[in-house]
Amino acid sequence: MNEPSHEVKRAIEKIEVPEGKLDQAILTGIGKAKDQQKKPPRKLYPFFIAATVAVFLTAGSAFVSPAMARMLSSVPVFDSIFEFAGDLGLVIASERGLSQGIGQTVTDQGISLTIEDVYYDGTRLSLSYLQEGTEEKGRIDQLGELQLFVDGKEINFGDSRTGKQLAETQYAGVINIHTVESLPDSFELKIGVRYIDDVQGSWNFTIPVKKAKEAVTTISSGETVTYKDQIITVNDVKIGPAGTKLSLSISAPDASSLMMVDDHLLQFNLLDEQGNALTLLDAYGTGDDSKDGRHIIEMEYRYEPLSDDVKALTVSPYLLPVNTGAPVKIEQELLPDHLPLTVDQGEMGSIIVHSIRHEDDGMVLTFESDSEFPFDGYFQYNTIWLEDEAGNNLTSSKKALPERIRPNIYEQEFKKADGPLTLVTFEMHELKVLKEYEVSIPLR
Amino acid sequence: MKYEKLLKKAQTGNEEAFLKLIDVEKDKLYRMAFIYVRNETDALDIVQETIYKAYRGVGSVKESAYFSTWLTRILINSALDFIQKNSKVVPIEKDMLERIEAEPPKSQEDVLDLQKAIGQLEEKYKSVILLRFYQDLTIPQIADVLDCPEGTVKTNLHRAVNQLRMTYKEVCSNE
Repeated sequence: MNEPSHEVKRAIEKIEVPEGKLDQAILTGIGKAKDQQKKPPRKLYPFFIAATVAVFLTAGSAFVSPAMARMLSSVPVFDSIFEFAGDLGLVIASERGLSQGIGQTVTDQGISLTIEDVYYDGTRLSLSYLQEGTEEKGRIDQLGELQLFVDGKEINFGDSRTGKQLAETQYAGVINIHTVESLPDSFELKIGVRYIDDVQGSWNFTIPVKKAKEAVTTISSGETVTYKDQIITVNDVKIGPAGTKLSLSISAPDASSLMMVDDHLLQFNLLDEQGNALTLLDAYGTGDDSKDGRHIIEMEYRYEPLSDDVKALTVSPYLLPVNTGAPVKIEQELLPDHLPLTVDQGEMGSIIVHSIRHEDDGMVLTFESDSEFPFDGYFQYNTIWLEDEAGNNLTSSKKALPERIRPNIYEQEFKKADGPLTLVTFEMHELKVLKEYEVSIPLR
Repeated sequence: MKYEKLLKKAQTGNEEAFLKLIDVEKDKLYRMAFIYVRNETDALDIVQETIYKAYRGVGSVKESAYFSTWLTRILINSALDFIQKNSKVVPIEKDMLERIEAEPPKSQEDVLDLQKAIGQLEEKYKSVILLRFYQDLTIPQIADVLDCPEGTVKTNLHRAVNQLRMTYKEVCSNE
C-alpha cells in the first residue's frame, strides 16, 4: 500500500464493534451525567462531626496558613493596622473601639518605629506597628526579636507576626504575643527592639496596657480523655470579643510522641452545637515539661470570635496524616454553563462548584464542601484553584483563601481570565475524626 | 435534521439529539479507545467516560463543525487518563522498541498485523496516527487537539510512521 491513511483506516476498521455493549456504555455515560446534574445539594450538617485545622505542616503543597491568608488579603486603607493586617478577632476588636491607640514613635539609625495600637482582653495581647526606613535601611519587615517587661519584670513569651508592605520603605505589621504566664488586668509594658534587619539600634517603648472593657468569659472544663498513649485535658475555653481561646494539656510517654499517633498528628476542631468548625486563627504550644514520667505540652488554639447565640462548644480531636507524599492532582474542565460540577476528592468527599461570577476585576467561584469532615472558614487542609488555558494559576493575590459564606458554602476570588478554565484540586487523605473522644462544653 | 440544529438541541439538554450526534461517532470512538487499551472492556469504559464528559460539556461546543474534533479530544484524554490510572495497561517498553528497530522482521510470520502494530506504539504516537490517518485531521488541527506545537506533531508523526515501518513493512513512507 502506498497511502498510509487508507491502510491505517482499513486496519482500524477491522476492529469489531460490540454494538449492543457500546450502546449500553453510551446510555450509562449519559445516565451518569444526568444523575450528577440532578443531584440535590447535600443536606447541611447530617453529621455532628468534628475536625480541626493545623497551622503548620504540608511542605510542598498548596495549603496556606491563616497568617499568610491575612497577609495576602490585606487592604492598604489606613484606618487601623489591626483592621487590614490583623486577624478576624482584631478586626472586630478594632471596629468596636476596644483597642487602645498608642502612637509612640522612636527613631534610631534612620529607621522610625511606631507602636500604633495595642489590644489586650485576657485571651490575647496584640500590638500593631509601623516601620519606616530609608531607601537603604529598613526596607522590609525584619523587626528583630523583642524584649518584653511587664511591670518591670522580663517575661517569657512567643510571638506570631503578620503584616503588609505599604511602600518600598514602609511596613505595617501586627505582633501577637503569647505569654507563658497569665497577665494582670492592667500593666506597664516595656518593649525593647535591638535590631531591624541588620541595623543595630535601640527602639524602646513604655506603654500602659489595660484589659478591654468587654468582658472575657472563661468556661472551665477539666475533662480528660485518653486516646492510645495521649492524655488530653480540656482546661478551659475563653470567649472574648476578639476571639475564642481553647486551652488543652496534652501528655504522652515521651517528648517525640507528643500529639503524634502512628504517623498522624493529633489535632482539634472547636465546633458549635450545629457542628460548624470555628475558623482557626493561630495555635501555639508551650512546655514539654515532664511529670510522673510523662511529657506535657500546653496548647492554646485561638479561633474566630463566637456569635452570641452559640450555647455549647465541642472539642473534637482528629488525626491528620503526615508523610503522605506528594498529593495527587485532580483537574477538571470548568464549563460555566454546566454547573454544578462535582469534583470527587476520594475518601474525603467532593467539592461541588455551584457558580462562577464575573466581576470587574476578577471572578468569584462559589462552591460547596460535600464532606463529612467539617472544614473551617478558610477551608483549611483543602485547596482549590482555577487555571487558564495556558495552565496559569489564577489564585488572587488579594484573597488567596476561600471564605465560608454559609455552612459548607465557600467563595473564593480569582484573577480574571478569558477562555476555557480548569478547576484544580487534590485527592485528600482521610482526616479521621475521633468522635468518641469529643468533649462537650456547655456555655450557659 | 441538520447537524447544527441537532447540536443546538443537544445543548439544551435534549438527550435524543445528543444520541443522534453520538450515533455518527460511536464506532470511531470505540475503535480509537480499543487502539489504546486493546481490550473490549476497557475500551467500553473509556467510551462511557467520554460520553459522560461530553454530555456534561456539550454546551461549550461553539460550532457543529468542531463537535467531532472536540469529542475526539475528550476520548484521547479519557483514554490517557485511563491508562495512567490502570497500571495493567502499559506502553511498550523502550528497550523492546529498540529491539524491534534493531531487528527488522525476518519473515512474513514475524510481521505484526498493522492494527496490533499501532496498538503497540507509545501513547503519543498512537494519538498522532489516529488523528492523522484515521480522523484525517491536518497537522494544525492535531496540534490543537493535543494542545502541543505543530513541530511536535510533525516529529511524533514521523517517528510513529518510522516505528510502524519497522514492525509493519508495508506501511509506506509518504506520511
